[in-house]
Amino acid sequence: MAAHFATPARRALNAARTVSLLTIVGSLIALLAWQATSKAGILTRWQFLMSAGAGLLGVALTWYFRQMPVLASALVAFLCACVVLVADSVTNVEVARSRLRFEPFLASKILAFGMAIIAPAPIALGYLIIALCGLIPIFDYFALIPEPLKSHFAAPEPWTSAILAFFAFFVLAHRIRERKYEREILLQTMVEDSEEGVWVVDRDRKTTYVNPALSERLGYSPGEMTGKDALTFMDEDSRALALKKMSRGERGIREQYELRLIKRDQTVLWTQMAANPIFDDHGRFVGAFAFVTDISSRKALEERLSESEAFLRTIIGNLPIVLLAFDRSGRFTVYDGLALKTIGKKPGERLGETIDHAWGKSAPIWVESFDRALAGESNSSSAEMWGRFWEIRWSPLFNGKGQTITGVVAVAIDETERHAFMQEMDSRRELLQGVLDNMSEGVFAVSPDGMIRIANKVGLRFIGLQSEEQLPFSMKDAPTKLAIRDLEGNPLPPESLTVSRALKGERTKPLTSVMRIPGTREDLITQSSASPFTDPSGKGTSAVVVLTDVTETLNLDRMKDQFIRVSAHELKTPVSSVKLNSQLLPLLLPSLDARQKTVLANLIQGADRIDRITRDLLDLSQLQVGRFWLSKTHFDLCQMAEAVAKNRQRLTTRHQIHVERPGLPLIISADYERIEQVVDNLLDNAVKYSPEGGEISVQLGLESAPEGRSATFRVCDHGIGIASEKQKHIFERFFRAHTDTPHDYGGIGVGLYLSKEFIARHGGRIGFESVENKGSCFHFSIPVEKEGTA
Amino acid sequence: LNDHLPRKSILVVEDDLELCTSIAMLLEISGFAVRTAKDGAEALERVAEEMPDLILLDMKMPVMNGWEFARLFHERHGNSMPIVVATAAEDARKRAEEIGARASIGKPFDSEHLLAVVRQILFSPLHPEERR
Repeated sequence: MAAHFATPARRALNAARTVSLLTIVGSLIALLAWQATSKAGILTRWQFLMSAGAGLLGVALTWYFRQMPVLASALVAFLCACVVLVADSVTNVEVARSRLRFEPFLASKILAFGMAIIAPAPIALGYLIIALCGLIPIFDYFALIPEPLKSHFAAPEPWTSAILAFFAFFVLAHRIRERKYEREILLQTMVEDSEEGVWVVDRDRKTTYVNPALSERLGYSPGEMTGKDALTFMDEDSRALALKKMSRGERGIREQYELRLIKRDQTVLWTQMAANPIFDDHGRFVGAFAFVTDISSRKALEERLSESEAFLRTIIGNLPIVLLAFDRSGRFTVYDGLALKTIGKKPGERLGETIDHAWGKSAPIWVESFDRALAGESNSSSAEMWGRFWEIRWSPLFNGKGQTITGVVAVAIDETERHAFMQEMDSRRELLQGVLDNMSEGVFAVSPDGMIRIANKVGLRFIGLQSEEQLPFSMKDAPTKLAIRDLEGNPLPPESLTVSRALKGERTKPLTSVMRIPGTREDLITQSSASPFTDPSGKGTSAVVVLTDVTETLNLDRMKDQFIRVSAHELKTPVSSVKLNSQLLPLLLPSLDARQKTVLANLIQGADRIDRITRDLLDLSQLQVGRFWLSKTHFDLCQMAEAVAKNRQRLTTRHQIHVERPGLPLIISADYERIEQVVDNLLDNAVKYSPEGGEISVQLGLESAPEGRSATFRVCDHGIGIASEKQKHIFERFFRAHTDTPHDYGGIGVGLYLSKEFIARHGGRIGFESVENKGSCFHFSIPVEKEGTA
Repeated sequence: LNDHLPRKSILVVEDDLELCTSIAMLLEISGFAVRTAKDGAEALERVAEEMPDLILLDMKMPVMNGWEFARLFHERHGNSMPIVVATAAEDARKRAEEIGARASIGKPFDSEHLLAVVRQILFSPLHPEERR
């Protein structure tokens, strides 16, 4: 047996040496391959070095024990195998962890397999011991060796083959176990490394496994959670939910649900649970596992969204409007707003109904507006509904991208009060407009820039327009377009028009002018008055202009003047006849007694009074129509006044007329007859209004003023005077201070008016002082021409 | 006083018959020889028959008015004859100047005033001064 063993011992040594060498080479190759793929960590490199070192040790030992007995060589082989085993099993795990496709440990396995092929029985025994330990996969690939090669390599001894076959059984068993082991490692690695939380509980809800991803999120280590009731990590609500879900799970229902977990720091972790029940081979429920996804951020976003939505709803619910939204088919999708509540409607009650159904009958206009909005046209409409007046603005509702119209949104505003107010305003405006349009005057509002903005009907006709739409009309064009002239036909410059002055803020007297309506041949005489007013916009001064057509009035005036003139003229000849005949009679009958003479004198005086009145009327009408001329000559005012005074004195015995005059004559250039008329008139008044008689003094003189010298005339009486409240009217036409008083001595009330006009036309001044019941002084002055020219 | 002198003749042209008669009467009483005409055309006939010393002329008359008469008269008989205008118009003097009359009297006039004007013209030939 010994000899028998001797040769195998040597062969074992040789084989061990070969294996060791191959181990070195294989390890180095593996190392290089690892390096090349950059997958190896530092640890694995160490393992390969250990593997190579084991090879070196094997070479050295086989060399040293080349004369060793069988047992020794078996021991060496065993040691070598142990080294390889360690390297192999470590790399095995590593490979499982790193999930590498390339399996470097394959090299060492191949080497070990080769050794087994050539190993003699004692060495195989060593392998058997190792194999019995159940730890090393050496004969993995035994089964893979082709049969011809096996016969070539295998030991000839039958029992060795039996042992190898036995080994092969173990190796196969081991290989199966190892495969399973690898998969477990793989799974475990996946679970451990997963970002997804994994939670496994048993049938009593005790945690049997939790992966770091989940435990870390909850703030625990996996160990702390293991063995604890899953409900520990939930609040009341979640527990109820979890229990419900788990009982469903026991019935085999798999489902996903959101569950709120409580972290160690008592804050909330929102998760989505994908729970799966676990049943054993007999179909009994043994527990459950769940993939736990952290949805906190999604949940937070959702919460924020729903918060803001709730906030929006609150706002809408408190807006004093009705907010409406519709889908394309016209169904209400929003029906809210405080305005609904105030009229006793319930927000949301119409949801789902269509606008046609809800409103189509009572308010077709809403449906029409809805259709327009749906066609893309924002619009607003108003009508009565629910006993109130509503204005609704309709807009198309676009999708997020703003391309397609997905519905309509509408805002209804209760405009009842405003509507009533507007109606009131409208009716007032209509009333005003009616008043304006029915006025016979043209009324214009002119803005600060000189544009007619508003005109009534008559006003429009005056400026040749048919309707208000043709406004504004520029006042700048008015003088030319309307051919505005004065009464003599001279064009009036724009700045002299009343409107121009009103726009400057001045108040003006009415201006009479002639104009022509554009497109007609009719000349109108108009009187315009304008007043400034502050523009409502505050942008300056506007003007309101009133234009009155006085053509007819003025024509009537002219006719009246003409009538007066003609009548007065016609009176003159018969008056002349009366007067002349009255004067003729004494010549024919020299023996007239005093009474007869008085009769004749009265006749003459009557004729004179008629003459006086007709002259006054003529003067008046001439002044009125502007046909008044002065016929100037040089004469002595003193001489003339004395003559008039003398004449007057002849007619009265109760008055004493005294004339005070300077030594030198007062030569003036004036219309003799007019000035005589004034002097006579003033003297006549003095006599007339001092019925008690008394002294009447006439003073003539020369007055010096910076602008030149004037001849002055002054007459004072001691009569009834003029009441102070009537004094300011005394020079007015037809004003009679003593009308209907005991002192009404007749006259038509034009004497002082004419006197004033005559003196004014001579460039002079007229005035008076008067005290009631004391007397009056009337005076006038007329400029004297310079001595050289006088 | 002036009886030894030949009586001065005056032609009164006036369309108002009553007034015309009265004026004629006044002038006759005052010692003038008076003839009358009721319009300018008739006056031209009278003048053609016999030239007066003075013409008292109304301006507004039918058939031929004062202006027309004065124009034709001056054309035919020169400017030497004194004409006194008696008119109801308010601008009597202006009218007088227009036709080259010696004086004007506004209606209604005083008989004394009329006589004064007439006498002044007829008896002060060297200074035929107008009233003013």
